[in-house]
Amino acid sequence: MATDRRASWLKGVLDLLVLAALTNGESYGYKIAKTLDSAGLGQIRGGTLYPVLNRLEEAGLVAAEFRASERGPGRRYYSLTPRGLETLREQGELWLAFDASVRNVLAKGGIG
Amino acid sequence: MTGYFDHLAERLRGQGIPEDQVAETLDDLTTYLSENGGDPEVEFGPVSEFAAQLVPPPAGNGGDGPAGRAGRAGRVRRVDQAGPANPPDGEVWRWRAAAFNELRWLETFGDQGWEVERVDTAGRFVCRRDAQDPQQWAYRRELVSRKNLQADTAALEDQLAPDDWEPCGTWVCYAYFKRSKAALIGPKAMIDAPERQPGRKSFYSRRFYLFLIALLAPVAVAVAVLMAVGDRYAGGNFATGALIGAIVAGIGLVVLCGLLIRRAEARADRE
Repeated sequence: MATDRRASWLKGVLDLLVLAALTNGESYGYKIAKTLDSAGLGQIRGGTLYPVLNRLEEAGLVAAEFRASERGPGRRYYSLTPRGLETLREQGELWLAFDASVRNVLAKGGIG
Repeated sequence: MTGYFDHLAERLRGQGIPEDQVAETLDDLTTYLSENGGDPEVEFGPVSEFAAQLVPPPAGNGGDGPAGRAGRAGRVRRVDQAGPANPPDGEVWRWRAAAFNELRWLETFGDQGWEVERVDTAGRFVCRRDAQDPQQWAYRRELVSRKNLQADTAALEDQLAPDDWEPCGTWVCYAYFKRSKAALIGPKAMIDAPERQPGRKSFYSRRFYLFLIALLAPVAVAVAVLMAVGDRYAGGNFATGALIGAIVAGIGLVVLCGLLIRRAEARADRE
């Protein structure tokens, strides 16, 4: 039950988290997943992360560049576009407002 | 692991993703998995679902979250969305057959190098034969529920994918799958001198016509009975009138069916 609920919370906000993970510079799939994991969001599977990265790229919110490697298969690096940064700010504000409302209601219910 | 990525590549190609992007995607995912470890099926999920999520949906069908709302100006495009392009190489041919014998014809034409790309809305197999390197194809048909056509077909897709079967169309309660024979017999599947494109477009068996006769027989019996007893009760020329009426109705029905089929085919040709 708790896992299901976390998964559904994450589903609603994962694209914002990915955008936020790119604000310090370009990154790639595995590193983004590790960043979010170490932030306490749990392990995010490639089957969840890559479709989100793909959608963000399609929407022009991130730019992707494939770089070949001399030591093995290459990898795709993602970076935040100006439009992505703008979206992150806008949508991030909305999420924080939502979060504040939830906190208020929970506080009135004696939680926190 | 290779099997998973091979299937994924096949799916992406099948969904119109250009070859260079397929190669980049596979490289990227392989690197991801080598760093993360684990089983690709567990990490990325079933091939068909993952492949579908990596391909942009049709324009105007935005997803959830900011990405969906912000529109789709993406770099990743299907080949068929990439604007004017060279048409795929090879001959295209549409044909139909009744359910009684279509598997036999699919086998025959598959051996002649005809690859079914889809079943159009008029129920015809839309086939293409590669102009440069024609090769043999195998087909199979599976029964699916009309109500759960998509779900049933997707489930079959996952079930048959390990054996290299891929979907190539659905019609009423059937899902069709194809497989390149090269996977089984290697270079022998290549066709050196392909036969000419068949001149016919319909292939109905004797069994199909017998089935039609069996369907129409009760109507014919009813008309005959009406004619036999009609004059006795109605008097005059009832039998003659009934016969003419039946003939006119029959001709009308045939003409109407022909027009409807032609209209459906013309519409399917434009798709």
